Amino acid sequence: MIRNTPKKRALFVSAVIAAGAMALSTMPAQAASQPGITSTEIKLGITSPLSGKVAAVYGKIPGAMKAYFSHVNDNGGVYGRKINLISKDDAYVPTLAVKATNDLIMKDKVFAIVGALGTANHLAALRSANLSGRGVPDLFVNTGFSGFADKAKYKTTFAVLPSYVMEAKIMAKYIDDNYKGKKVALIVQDDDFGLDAIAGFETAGLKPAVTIKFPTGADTVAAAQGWITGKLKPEAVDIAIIFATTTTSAAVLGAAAGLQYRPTVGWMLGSVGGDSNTLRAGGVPLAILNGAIGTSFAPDPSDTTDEYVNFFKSIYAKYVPGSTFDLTVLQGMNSAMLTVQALRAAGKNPTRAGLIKAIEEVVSATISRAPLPTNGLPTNS
Amino acid sequence: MKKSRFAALAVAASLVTISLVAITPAANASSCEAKQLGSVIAEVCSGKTSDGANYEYRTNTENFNGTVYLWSHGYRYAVNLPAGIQPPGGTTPYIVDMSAEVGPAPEVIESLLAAGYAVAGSGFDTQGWTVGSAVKTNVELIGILKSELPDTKGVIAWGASMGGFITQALAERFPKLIKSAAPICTAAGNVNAELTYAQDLLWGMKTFFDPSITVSGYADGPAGVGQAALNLQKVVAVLTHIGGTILETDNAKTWPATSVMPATIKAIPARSALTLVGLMAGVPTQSQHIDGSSFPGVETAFALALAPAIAISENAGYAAGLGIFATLDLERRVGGAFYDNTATDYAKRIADERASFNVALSGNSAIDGMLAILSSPYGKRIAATDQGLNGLKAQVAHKGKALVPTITMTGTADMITPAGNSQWLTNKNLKNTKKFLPLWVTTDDKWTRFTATGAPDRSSPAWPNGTGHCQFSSDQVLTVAKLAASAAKTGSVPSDAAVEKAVASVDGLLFDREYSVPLLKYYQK
Repeated sequence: MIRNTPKKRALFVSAVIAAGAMALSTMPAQAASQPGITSTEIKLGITSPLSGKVAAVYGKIPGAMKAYFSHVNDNGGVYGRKINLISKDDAYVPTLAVKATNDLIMKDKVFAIVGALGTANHLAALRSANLSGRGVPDLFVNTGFSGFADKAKYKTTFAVLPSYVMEAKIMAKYIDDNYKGKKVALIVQDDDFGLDAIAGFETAGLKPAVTIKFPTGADTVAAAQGWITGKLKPEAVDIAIIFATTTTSAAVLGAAAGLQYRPTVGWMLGSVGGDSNTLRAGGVPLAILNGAIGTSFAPDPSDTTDEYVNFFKSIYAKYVPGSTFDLTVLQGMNSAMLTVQALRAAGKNPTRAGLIKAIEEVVSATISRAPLPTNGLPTNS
Repeated sequence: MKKSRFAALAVAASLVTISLVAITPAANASSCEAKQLGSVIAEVCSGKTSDGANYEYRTNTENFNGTVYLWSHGYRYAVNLPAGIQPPGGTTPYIVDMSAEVGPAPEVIESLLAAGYAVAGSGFDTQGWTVGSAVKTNVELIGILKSELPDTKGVIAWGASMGGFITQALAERFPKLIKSAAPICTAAGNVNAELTYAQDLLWGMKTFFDPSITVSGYADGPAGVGQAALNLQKVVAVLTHIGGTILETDNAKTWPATSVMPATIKAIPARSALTLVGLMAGVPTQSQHIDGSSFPGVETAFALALAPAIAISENAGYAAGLGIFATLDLERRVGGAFYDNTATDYAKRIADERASFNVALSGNSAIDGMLAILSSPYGKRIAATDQGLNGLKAQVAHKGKALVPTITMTGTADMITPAGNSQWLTNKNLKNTKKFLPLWVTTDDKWTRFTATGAPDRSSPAWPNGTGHCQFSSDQVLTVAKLAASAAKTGSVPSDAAVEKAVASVDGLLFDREYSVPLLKYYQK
């Protein structure tokens, strides 16, 4: 639904300009007395699921970020400093995310946390590691949890995705514009992710005829069969929205394929679980995906006409040869690019406070010209 | 690494001693004799203070350096208990223990003696929550030490659990008597904060699982003791049932038969209700066998859905033991029931955790349903008596500021004195960095083991770093002792750089002034 636009290309162009400037500015930088900063290095940390059930989908983020950082490092780094990304596994389990994040701060002494994944995980981790109290920049968390826009509570945290509330509002408008009066079903997790979605749809005036809330982890194919036969079919819904993770989308669509069921208009998928390439790779039949409407804030990673995609794709092919370039990779590289822009904006002698200020003032101005109204920044309206 | 269990609820550590030569008693009636303690031959002196407390001190007469470590032991049950009732950390049958305790563990004591320090401690004049009289006993014992060991130049006060509370109280009230203090795995602030933790747990268990569980208002005399003993059995029965059905998918089977919850609540797994109860009380979600991170194979559901409940069930028995017997004891001291949850907002209590533990709690709808129970007639609140509240106010409380160099050490998953106690002291001294030094024993990366069927293996008797009550290694304890000795010499805690160097090689020990853990729920605003 959201496609590449001239504005998005503006972001890409700004990144290229930044890279060019980097090549010209590789003068030795002064050593600063900041954790994770030396005269030659900027040490960053990331936690993400490298093991467990979702590792196959999300475990590619650190590799994608490293690929972009390698590209920057090979072109002079950031004011002469090379970026070193320390990656730790959290298995998408909050307790492990807590441990890994604390280790990154207290043992590895990273300058900033970047690209962490998941609302529940990261809420637990940032609280335990006291990122806000310590003033540790917590950049571009991969979640659309609207709560991270609360800067009084999360002073140093910036999420990279548009908020789920915003996404739901956009989806509701799309339905209103194109399928007014149709009967809608909404499938959401029974947690903050789902709450955000429900809030967004409600704010936009969309009242689902059926709302299925399920505890995270209860999204099995058997459960999905029950939702279809017990709710969607009897209610004769026209549009079924799956606003959940890829696992849920795969379970519901897999169950639908088995039952040869399709809402009269079709399926609509949120951005988190709506990447067709990932769903296909996970075994969802192409037939059931045909006609499904997916939302995305990024260009299609298979779109060879998109400069943004091509630029990242060439870097990824060079530094991670043989690995599939997909939406997760694109997201990871996008976060890495934003991180580099933020570090550059923080100046030659970066401090944690300076980096946060740079994001709030300089990078947000850059992003405001882009189509991605990043959650927690002034453009999030 | 060898762990020295010196839990506050345990009886004093027995010493393997060899009597060598009897020495003439000191003039003030201390009776002394030389004993072989491991590799050290020490002069061991004992006697009674004016309030009747047994005391003991030990010196290595060969190399006494003038500094004495004064130990305050932890909570000991105040009543005898018959065979068959085994309170956590106690024996069965349990006989009130009045023996003197001079240090946390034999190997630690021997190390200190070998290094030229003397060690001392008493058994206090009474057991239970006895902080006021314990401080008096310690003051008198310091006088005896200075009288009988004229070479004494300084006293370092230290203690564990309730002994930590006593140590902090001594340091606040008599700062000139001691050179430094080390309250470890301590209770802090006021006793109500600590007991509210355990009583909230009991109230939650009563509400969801067995309405006959007693939270407060114990009967007088032997009837109250019997009531407490029976209460512990009921709690254990609930925990055993839920623990035994944790893998059960039929929710109806997971609820204990004693539960009177409506069908809507029983549609939720009982483990989720136990998780809610544990979280609202503040029970750690890591335990002896559960790291909260591990899972068999690639399926993370164990870590997300089951592990918190299993950890809470392992920890809750200990916390409940404290809640039951310390409440019985303290109600008798203060003259009435003091637990009061009439104004407690349990939804607010778990606001920070409902996202992180959403899976274990079975989702927002289940959470909201269970919270609604706590505000319904099922969750009848308990009010304190005026006498109980007034009596509680008369108990010794801390102001919190370190007046002498003070070093804390705390296991981050301690289930009897949760780490939020030490955090309270830490928060009171955030700018008092010359006088206050917080050390933490954090948990390891992973320690849960699984059987071939994928169930957690709960057979190991070991206590991994950060878990259990006051389960520290000798290295960890001796590091605290050395830092306290250094502080005693200079009047300030060692520099941050020196502390970092000292803890660097000690497994599990963390020094980071910006590290923090959640406060006890009682203190959370």
